[in-house]
Amino acid sequence: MKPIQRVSPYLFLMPAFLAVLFSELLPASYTIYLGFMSWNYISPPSWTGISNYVRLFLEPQLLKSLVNTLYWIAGTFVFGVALALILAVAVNGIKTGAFFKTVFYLPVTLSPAIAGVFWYVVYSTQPGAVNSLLRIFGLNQYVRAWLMDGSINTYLMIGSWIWQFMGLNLILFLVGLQSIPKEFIEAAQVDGAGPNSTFLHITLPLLRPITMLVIANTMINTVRMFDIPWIMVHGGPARVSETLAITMYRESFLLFNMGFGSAIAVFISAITLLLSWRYLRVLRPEISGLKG
Amino acid sequence: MPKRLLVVIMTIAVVLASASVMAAGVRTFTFYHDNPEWQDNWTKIGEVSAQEIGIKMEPVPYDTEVYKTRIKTDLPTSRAPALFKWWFAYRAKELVDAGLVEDLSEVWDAAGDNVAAGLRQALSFGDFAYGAVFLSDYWVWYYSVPLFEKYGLKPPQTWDEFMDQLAFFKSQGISGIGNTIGKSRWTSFIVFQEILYRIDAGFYNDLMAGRAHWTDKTVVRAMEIWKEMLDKGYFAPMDARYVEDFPGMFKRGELAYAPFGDWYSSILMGGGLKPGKDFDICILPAITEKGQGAIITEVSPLIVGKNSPDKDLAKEWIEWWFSSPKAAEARWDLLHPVPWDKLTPKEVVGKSNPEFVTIMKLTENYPNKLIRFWEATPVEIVEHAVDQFEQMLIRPSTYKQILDSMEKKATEVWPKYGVKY
Repeated sequence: MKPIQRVSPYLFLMPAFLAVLFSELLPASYTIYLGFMSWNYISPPSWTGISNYVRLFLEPQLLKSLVNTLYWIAGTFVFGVALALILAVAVNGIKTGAFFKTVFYLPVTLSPAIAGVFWYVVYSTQPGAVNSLLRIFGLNQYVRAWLMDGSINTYLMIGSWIWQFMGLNLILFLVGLQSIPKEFIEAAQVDGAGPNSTFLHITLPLLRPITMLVIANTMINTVRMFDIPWIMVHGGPARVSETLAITMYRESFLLFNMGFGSAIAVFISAITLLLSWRYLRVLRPEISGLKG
Repeated sequence: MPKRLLVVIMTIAVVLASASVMAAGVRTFTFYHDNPEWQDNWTKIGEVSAQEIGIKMEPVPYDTEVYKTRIKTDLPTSRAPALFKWWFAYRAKELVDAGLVEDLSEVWDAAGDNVAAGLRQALSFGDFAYGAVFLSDYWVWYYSVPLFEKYGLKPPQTWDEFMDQLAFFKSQGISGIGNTIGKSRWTSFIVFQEILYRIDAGFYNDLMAGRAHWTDKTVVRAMEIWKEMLDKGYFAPMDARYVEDFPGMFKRGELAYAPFGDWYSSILMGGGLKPGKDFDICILPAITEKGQGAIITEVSPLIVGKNSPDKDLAKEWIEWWFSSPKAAEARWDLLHPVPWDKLTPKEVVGKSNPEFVTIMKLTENYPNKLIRFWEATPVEIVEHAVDQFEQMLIRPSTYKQILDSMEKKATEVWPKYGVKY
């Protein structure tokens, strides 16, 4: 083998490797390193050991942000995935299915920033679609600054996310549904299985790989949730709706605690990696099973 | 024909040659700021200085969200901006302490008495003058003229009268005070500041300087007054935004008052409101005698980055900014600040914007100038306070916990500034 042939595979890999090295590996390593430092940008970084990582477990706000992030994961899991599955089954095979698919998928094409502004206007008091409707129906006593109510604004924002991204999950489920061989369904029907029984015992198990993929994708995206709660309320009021990603942004770029912000970033990455690893392990036999 | 063509070609050549000579003679430096809405005006001011002294200031706008980060990351390096807009007092102290900004004492010396007295002191730490003046503002209360005319009201003369007005507005379904947190957390300190110094201006200064405590009875009293106002529903919905929503609310008579620096006039005017017709300003009465004669001031400085290769150019430019009548003319024509120099003719100001004449007259009766809360006390305390005050706005009953939390923060922060708290 000529020397050029020996090195050529590495040369072909080089562009991708360099891209990953400079855009991911080096910044990630630097972030881990900064997590051990105290740095306010204007003075040189100074070593603080593990104090930033210890602070992760002592800071009450971080616990609140973690709980909010878990709400996001649970909310998008229950509604963003389950509702998408129900709707996918409902629109699959019906004549007007294409219309519904388009309607549900359209919000996905918007940027989360625009979706955030849209939903801000919906819930606003100036005048705001929800409040205007309440007034029209004579329900003036319920008119309020919805997003300023810390006890409900996280749920409202999760609703906004579901509105925007459920369409993507729906399309993925439709792909899964359409890949199920019709023979399985027909055989079940011949054996006397009703629609519910067919769905539970045939469709759902065969959809499992795609379901796992949708859940993993949704969860990993939700752990990093930033754009919608930032655009709509800046994690407020009084920090009650902050997610981990917003707390990281605030500490790093508003309060200039770059060391602590980096420690939070590492914490978020660790959660994301853990979820990804877990789901990749679960997915592997499913995908292998499909191939087999 | 060939002769004419020759003349045209020669003329073009001469113009191009002189332009290139001129361009070669013009030195440039960059100016960072966080007011993209003023970018064109700053560009024009840069052109005026290029023509007059051969130094062109090239403005670079940033969104406020990223601005502080950009400045802080660049200042320690050779990418440091030659000139940048910043905040004064404690907000500038960390930059001064880190040795990242130039001393502008010589520039101030050269300016002589062109600039209003007291501003040099406001932009200095000891003998170190860290900034030149960009804006000098007073904090006043804006009110809706259509609303006051409709109900035959006038700005209140006593605090009790103010409370009666708020109760009246509430009974009419009108929001009394526009102080909300919409998307701007920083605004949460405003009403606290406005109440506290009206109770005791000296105490306000003491609290800001770490000589008084957040649990002292004067602060508790301020919080109780604020709580009562919140409990009675005198405030606009908390999600209303002061830039996007308040101007319309003023115009429609849905909002009575909004406390802001006098820079808010340009926001209201940008929303299509006319001074005197749609809005006007007043200074609310003191709550006790100890609050009389006091007013909040805010100074926006222009600062020179010490590590910038163009810092000397920026200093030369500031000398021009302070002393040239053309600079004053351009400043007034393009930026409309409350005049802080002796070069801007008062009659021109009065014709163009009567609000500023009113402000200048009103403030003559308020000799006790206090620094705005945002800059008056260490940044760590302010940042903690604005989050706590947000909580006050949505859960007023927690005011004692808020003060305990503030006291804890102040106890932790002041020793870092060499203050025995």
